[in-house]
Amino acid sequence: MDFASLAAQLNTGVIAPELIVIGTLLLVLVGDLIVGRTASTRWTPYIAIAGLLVSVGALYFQWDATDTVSFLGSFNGDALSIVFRGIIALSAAVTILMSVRYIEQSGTALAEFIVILLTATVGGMFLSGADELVMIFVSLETLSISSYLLTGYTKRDPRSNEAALKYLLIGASSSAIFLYGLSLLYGLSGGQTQLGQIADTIAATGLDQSIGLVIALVFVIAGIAFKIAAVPFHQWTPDVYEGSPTPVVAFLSVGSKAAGFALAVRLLVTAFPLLNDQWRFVLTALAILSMILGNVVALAQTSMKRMLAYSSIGQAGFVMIGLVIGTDAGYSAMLFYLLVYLFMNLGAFTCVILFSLRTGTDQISEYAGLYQKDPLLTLALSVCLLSLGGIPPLAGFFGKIYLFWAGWQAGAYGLVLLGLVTSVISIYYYIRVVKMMVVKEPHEMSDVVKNYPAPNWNLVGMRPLQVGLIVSLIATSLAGILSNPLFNLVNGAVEKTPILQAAIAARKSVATDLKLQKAPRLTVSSLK
Amino acid sequence: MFVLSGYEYLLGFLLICSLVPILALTAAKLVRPSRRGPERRTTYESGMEPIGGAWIQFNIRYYMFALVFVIFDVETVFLYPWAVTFNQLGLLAFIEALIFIAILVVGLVYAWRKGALEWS
Amino acid sequence: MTLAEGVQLVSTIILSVMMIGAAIGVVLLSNIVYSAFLLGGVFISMAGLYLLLNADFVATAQVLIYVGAVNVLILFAIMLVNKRQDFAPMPKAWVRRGATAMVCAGLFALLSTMVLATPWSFSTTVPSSAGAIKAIGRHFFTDFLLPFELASVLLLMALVGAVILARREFIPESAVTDLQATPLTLPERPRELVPVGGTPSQEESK
Repeated sequence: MDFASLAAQLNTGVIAPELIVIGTLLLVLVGDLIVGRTASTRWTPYIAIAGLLVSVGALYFQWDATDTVSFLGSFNGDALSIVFRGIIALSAAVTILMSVRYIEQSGTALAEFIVILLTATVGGMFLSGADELVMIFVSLETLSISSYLLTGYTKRDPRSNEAALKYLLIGASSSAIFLYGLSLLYGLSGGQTQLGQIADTIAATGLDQSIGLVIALVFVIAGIAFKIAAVPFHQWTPDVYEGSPTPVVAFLSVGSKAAGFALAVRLLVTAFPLLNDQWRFVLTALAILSMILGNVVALAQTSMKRMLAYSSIGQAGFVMIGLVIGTDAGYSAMLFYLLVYLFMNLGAFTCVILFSLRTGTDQISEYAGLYQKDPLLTLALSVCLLSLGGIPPLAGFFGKIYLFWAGWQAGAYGLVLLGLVTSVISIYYYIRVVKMMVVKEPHEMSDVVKNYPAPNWNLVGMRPLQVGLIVSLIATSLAGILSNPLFNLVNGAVEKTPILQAAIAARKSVATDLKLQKAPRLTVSSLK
Repeated sequence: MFVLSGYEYLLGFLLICSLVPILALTAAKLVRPSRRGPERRTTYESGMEPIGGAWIQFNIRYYMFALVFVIFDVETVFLYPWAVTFNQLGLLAFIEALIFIAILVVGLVYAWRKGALEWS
Repeated sequence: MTLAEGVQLVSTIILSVMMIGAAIGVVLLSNIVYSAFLLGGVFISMAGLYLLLNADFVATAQVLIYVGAVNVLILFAIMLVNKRQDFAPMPKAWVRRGATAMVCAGLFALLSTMVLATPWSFSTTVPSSAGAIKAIGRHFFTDFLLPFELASVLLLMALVGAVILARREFIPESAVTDLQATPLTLPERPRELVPVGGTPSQEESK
């Protein structure tokens, strides 16, 4: 293979957004080395955010690209991956906004934090489009190992150490299980690594009902479910969320989770078309368990971060409804919900960070009477929590309506009813926090709120936090009412993605086949 | 299918070198006088009086170096196939390997500047 | 059976027994230093099995990375902590052990059934020992180029993370006083280092 033909085949333009992020992280790292730690704090976060936004812009320009396969099939930058990559890049940008002050106050180095966060972003973005087993695993590990490092980043805090250790041990074993599943796929297909070819070879050799394929499916789902923190693979979530630095938790709950969903869609739809019913069944079970356990256990939490951890488990359950039903509307509802969830969850975490920076606590009871001292924070946190609960007219309401409507259309009545019931439960614990903040009498105010410092936005790193707060507040309030562009985006993404269209068409044809098979039988029996 | 072609010498060496300690120890056992005492159980430190036990707390700097070494070790393993196939791959692979090395050199410079490669 | 096949069979059996025995030792021994050394034995036996499978590059990488670097790192980490204490015996420990053994045995039974019951489709390409490294090199620079390059970013990040987490920073005095006001921090102070060759304090305690 000579130079020109290989260079043309690589189709490097598709990964331009990732290359921009990699360039940014190298720039931050080298710049920090050159100018020193104190001088670099002033500009590294802004360079990183600018890089991420440019990367989102580059994604926008790829929206209409037709030749999406690059690096000889390693990476597929189709419309589906573009939406996921955008979500991950945006979540990283908002995370950096909220982390500047936090890192400053925890006395750790900011540039390295940004470098590791950007690496995690790169891993997640590559994972969204990875179309080949080796690429999937390397990008998954890039995301995971960066997440472990971020979790333990405040190394002088024993809780952070504990969280990192737990996350590392559970994460490593789940990676091993996932890798075992991938190796079974490799073996069953006789040495193929591309997802599409794996499915073709397995179908051609007639291994579609073998126990090996089922075990591969189970192991792969176990690895993915760990990443999206679905019950029963959620045990790490509360401890890790409670112990790690809060900006990291925000990224884990949005960016890392979105990457997990991207992996789930691509891997399950492309490599397991033969076990369509089986994987949908397993995911249905996971969705039911996640919705019930996440929302019910969140009721009993006293720490804000732990409550948000369990709530994020429940939210993952809602998102899985869209994946399970597997219709056009289902996939777009899933994407829409993830987009909305990005802003409302990051907004909630920004508020938690702001409160804990000013008071040093994240107990729910300490929020009592916050309204009198800091109306802006109260407003933002209330809006985000109510949106997470699904109160109209906020963004989360429209996300949930769309999801449940798509589920109802597809005939998943049980799932939708369960989703409604658990949503009502979730509204209870979200409202509890809001009530705590708003309607308390002055004498019931908690001690930390009584000593609440006057908001001072001029400290280093407070402005970015404020910007992040305002942006997520506006997005959460308006994304529901002005949701048309988002709807167009997600619908277009599903329509323009060949793998999803093929899967939907296959499901439709199976359904019609079943109907046709039923019809002749009836006529035959009636003839007799 | 026998696949071990080329490893007969290795097998021979393995046999010989596993024989050496066995023979040496059995010969010593036959020849040496058998006495028991506290001196016999001490660690042999070239004739010096041993100080403390053999299991002592290591310096954290060893850990730091081992950590950095793991990463450079993996890099070496990645670069070896490139070196072997250098003739066949041509210019594009050279550029690709340069990118790979450049990114890693940034890591080396980082470790160097942050003092991870210094002993003190 | 020719001599060569016999040698291969015997080597496989010896290596497997070594590997399983060492692995059981890693799990069951209570002294973690012994466990760490036995882990090295597991890695070496695994490298031998790779050699028997004609994957000499993988075997070399296994010895270089796992035995030469990872296992040494594990040993350093253990000796760094060097806390020789016996764990208090847990009440009802046999319940946990029994449950673990049951789960492991069940998993093993499931996987071995799967291995035996599945009609694997075999790759048609003949494994070649001599050209393996060249083939790997060609793959690195054609169809596995993207993971290869991403691995460099991964390694860079791992290096940065290792340095930032393992390096002890001495916070300047002004910063220490400044930071103690916040509840989030727990600044690390310079600790007295313990040299390797035994310290005077250890000598005195003997």
